[in-house]
Amino acid sequence: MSDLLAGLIQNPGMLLIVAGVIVALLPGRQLRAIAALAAIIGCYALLASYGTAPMDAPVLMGESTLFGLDLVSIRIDRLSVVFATLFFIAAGLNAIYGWLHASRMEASMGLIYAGAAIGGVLAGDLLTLFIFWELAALSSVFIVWGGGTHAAFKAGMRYLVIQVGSGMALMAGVALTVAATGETAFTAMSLTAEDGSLNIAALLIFIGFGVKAGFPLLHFWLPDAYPRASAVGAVMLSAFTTKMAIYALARGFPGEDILMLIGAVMAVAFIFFGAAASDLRRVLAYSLNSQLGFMVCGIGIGSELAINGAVAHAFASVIYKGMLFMAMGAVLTRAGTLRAAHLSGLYRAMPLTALVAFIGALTITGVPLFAGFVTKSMTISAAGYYEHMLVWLALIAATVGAVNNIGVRIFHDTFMGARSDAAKVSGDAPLPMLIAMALAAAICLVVGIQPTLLWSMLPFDYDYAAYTMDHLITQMQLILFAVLLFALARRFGLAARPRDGVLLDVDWLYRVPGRIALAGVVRGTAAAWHRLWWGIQAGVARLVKGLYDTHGPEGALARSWPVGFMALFTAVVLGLMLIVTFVAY
Amino acid sequence: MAIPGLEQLPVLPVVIPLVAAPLTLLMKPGRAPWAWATLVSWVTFVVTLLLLEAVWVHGPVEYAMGGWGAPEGMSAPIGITYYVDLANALVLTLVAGIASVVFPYAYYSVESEIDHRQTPAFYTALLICFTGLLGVTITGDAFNVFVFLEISSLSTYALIAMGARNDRRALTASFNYLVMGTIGATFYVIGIGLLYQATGTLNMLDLHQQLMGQSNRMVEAGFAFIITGIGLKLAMVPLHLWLPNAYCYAPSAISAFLAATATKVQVYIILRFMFSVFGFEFAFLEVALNAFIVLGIVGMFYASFVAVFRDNVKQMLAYSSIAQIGYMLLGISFGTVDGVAASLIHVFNHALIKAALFMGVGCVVLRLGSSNFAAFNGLAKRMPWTAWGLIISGLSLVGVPLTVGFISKWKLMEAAFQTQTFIPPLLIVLLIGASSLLAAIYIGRLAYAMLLQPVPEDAEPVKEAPHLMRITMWIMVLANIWFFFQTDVTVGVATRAAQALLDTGLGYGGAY
Amino acid sequence: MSDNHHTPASEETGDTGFFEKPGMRKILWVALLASCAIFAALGIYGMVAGWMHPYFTLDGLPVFYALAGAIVAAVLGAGGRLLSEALTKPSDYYDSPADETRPDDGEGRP
Repeated sequence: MSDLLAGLIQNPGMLLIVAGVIVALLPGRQLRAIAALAAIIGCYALLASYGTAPMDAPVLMGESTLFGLDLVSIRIDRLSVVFATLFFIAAGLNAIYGWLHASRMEASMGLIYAGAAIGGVLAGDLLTLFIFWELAALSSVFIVWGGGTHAAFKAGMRYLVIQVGSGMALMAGVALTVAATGETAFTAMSLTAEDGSLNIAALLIFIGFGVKAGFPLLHFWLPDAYPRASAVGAVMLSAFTTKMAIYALARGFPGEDILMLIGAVMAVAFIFFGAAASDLRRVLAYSLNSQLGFMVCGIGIGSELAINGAVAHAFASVIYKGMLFMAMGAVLTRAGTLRAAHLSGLYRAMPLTALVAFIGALTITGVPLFAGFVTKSMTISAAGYYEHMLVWLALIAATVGAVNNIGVRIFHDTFMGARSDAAKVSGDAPLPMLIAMALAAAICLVVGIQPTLLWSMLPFDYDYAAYTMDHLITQMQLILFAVLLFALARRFGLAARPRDGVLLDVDWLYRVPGRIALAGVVRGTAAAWHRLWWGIQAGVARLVKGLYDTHGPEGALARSWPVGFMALFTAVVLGLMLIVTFVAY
Repeated sequence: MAIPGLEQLPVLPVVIPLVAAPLTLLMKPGRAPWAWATLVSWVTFVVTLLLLEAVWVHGPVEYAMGGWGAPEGMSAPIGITYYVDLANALVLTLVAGIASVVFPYAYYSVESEIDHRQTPAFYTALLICFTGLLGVTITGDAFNVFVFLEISSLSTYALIAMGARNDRRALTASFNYLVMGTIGATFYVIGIGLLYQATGTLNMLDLHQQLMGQSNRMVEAGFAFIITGIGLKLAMVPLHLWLPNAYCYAPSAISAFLAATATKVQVYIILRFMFSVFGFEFAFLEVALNAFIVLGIVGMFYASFVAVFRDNVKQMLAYSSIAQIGYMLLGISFGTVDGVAASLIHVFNHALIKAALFMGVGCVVLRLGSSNFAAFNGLAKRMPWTAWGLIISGLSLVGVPLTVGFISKWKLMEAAFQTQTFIPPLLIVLLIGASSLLAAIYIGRLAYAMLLQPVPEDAEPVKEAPHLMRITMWIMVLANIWFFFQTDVTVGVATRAAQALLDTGLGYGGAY
Repeated sequence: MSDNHHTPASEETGDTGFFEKPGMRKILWVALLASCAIFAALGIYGMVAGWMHPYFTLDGLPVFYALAGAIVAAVLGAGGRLLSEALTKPSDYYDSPADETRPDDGEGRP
């Protein structure tokens, strides 16, 4: 007992979860925000005190056993430390961003959620990973619900089911692994067993990871839930769940070939959905999903450069995507809507937020001097070096997609142009939001200008030069000509904004025909059941009536089963039991 | 084997509450009967703990009532014997442990839900019910099981009917349960009668010896009667229809006590009969195990689905209990040490979960007078301790790590992977996962109502539940976390108990 | 159905922002075209001079990235438009408008 608890308590993520519980009890938003920030800094100091270790010689801490299985609460190596550090930065930015606007629920659950993500990336074995995986799912659903509308409740329920489902797939895979090998260590796995057959345990784990990483067809929870959260909540959601899954894939399935295909499809398919969505945070959600494709591709390529690229891109992505969600949250806070059709010309009322969105657009499209340029180049180069031409093309297409979705849709159409009525708002974003956005923008610039700061944290030592003439010219050509084409299309009236409304995705399958089918099955079964039951009852009415008469207070009985029926049913079961006995032997 | 120094220990868990019960009836209504019942439950709990420890150290204990043991040259004892091995020592400790927390909890709840003058009768019935449950578990005599089963059932009918002061539907619920319970008990006693005819003995161990190699129609019919009878008491789908209303309309404390103990004891009897009495030599066992797989899975899904759509939290939890019984049956149906151990572990863990949940609902009923979903809106703001207790134990029900529910589910999955049944193990595991998604939905619905729904505008301010209720409830909630970290008691004892049961079942005798 | 978007009708009312002034727009256009031309020229020069290192034969084409940017942008513009036409439903398709409004929870949200 004690060693398991002691092991968990050494994990900074677990401490942050405890802090989240305490924050829930504090009065006042400011006090909660201060406490949250103090907890984040304190837990980060603990992580920093553990130092770091190379990939092939991880430091293990907090070892214990749970009914005979070995658990390792903390594994320190460069992969886990870089993700944990990233999550601490994101948690800190979130706490500042929500200084005035986070509800009690969001402040405390946001901390628990961040703690679960940090605990998950530090976990040294599959069971501990599962513990935090599940905690992340359960804490984040409250943040979706924090949107406060009934639509957010329903989206949260759908989110909960798919997230817990991911946990169940992971748990089943882990249970199978343990049953087969007795090992719980979380190391690289392969989808194919040694004899070439499918490794079911690894496949289940892979699906569990894939749901959270937003694999195509398993992604639908992401654009469904994120736009429903509150301004503050969406920023929290954008940081952790998906990147935790990227970490898990990088740890568990580096170099798994199928990931390249999955990543390429993700990178390309979702830019079209992003272009078609009308809610701006939904645009961001699809764009996030497309960027995840970059990382999944990098993990699939599996070389040191590619893994470094995936990790570096995850780092940059959390920061700039968080920043963009922050900007949209500020717009939502001021304008009260994020429907693209109602917003344009916001830069005049919110110039600083517009600047942040512009920096976000420059970063995500990969303009030199911004973080996206250096991190994207690594994955694209790796795809080029290892001659994966389709992956390489997909990543180039995804870059153009980012130009459209973020540069044009989020920045230009929302902030520039003539001013719409909804854009006549009272002022720029509140101060804490501005501070958080400014810090995020600063990180984007620092990483872009001085990439070695980030590279020293990456899993492998790989000497990579991002600022070569080749990269600069090709990347600028790509971006500028894409911008030119979009500008020309606008100029000649060929492009219009997407239609206003809800964009259907694969979740339609279970939200409309699925629901109708389920309701039909339930109704059909009930009808058949009633017919059967009334048929039987008519036959034995006299027998049952005797019992009916003794039946106590009537009226309230509508929903309860008559006792005669139950007695009859028991007799039927016994009869069946006896028949089976005699027939079977 | 007797325990050195404590020869009379095995009989005490039954004798203490049995003697104490009639005394309760003589007491003045109010505090006295409650305090007395609580004291009795604590003493009993200590005794069962000693017994568990003794069995763990010294092996199974046999106690011949009145010294009427087996005479020279005869294998079967003449009188009733109590036989305690790890399986029933664990269940005994569980029942007494739950009682020792629920009985103190009951005070305010009972004061508000039961007529003041009836309190002595209430606690008398409660103690009798307690005696019955302990007796069923401890005895090694098949007919004695029936006697104690009836003792506990009859008092349960009365206890449920006492909920009528709040809701008249309790009377119908109790009546339904009475009819069904009586049918179940009758089936059981018919089954015992058939076995007696075939073997001439009622002692379980002796029955096992006599039945070895016997497989005739009479024994098979006896088996079918016993399993159906106990299945009814167990609320095994499709014989579960009495349970939701019985749990829903009973007084809150009774719901908590019964949900945590009554069906668990029945699971133990099923285990005892299947493995200790009949054993694997008995060919029909295989059929029953296969039936349990199907019934378990159907129950898991059917009852969870119903639970999702209930508007009354007590009823939702009652249906959830039926679904959880599905997990236990599933564990038994694997017919392996791991499966039976998983089932026993879940018996233990689920008792903790459901006790905490029903106790939380009892607090709400006390303060708000209703267990409908509407009463739970904004509960986290009105009664934060109760609401968070409900959420934590709800998470345990879903099987979230850091709570006991996770241990249960993990062990069940692990066991499922090592079985050879007609359903592929992987499918079973995925079904277990899918059904816990349903649990996540109905618990999520409750959590949403409590945490994020606004408090109704016209609601009057309410106080938190009394300290006594909150503390006892939180003891259960913390037990849900404690036993995640402390798995020696559950996993350790249950695995050894399952080993012993299966060894008997395989005909190795007791190699405990 | 492309006229769903509100064309903000304010240019006549004199409510013109800094970036909407005709002079500014002209400057932006010139800057865009000029930088396009410069980077295209640099790319061609680099390829001829031999200090560009293409990964494949495909991007050995001097202005490959410029073409790729323009073509993908065109495909994306058209594809996004088609997807929007095909899959967009009225906003009350899943949830009624009442579901989208937040009941006042008294927490003093902005």
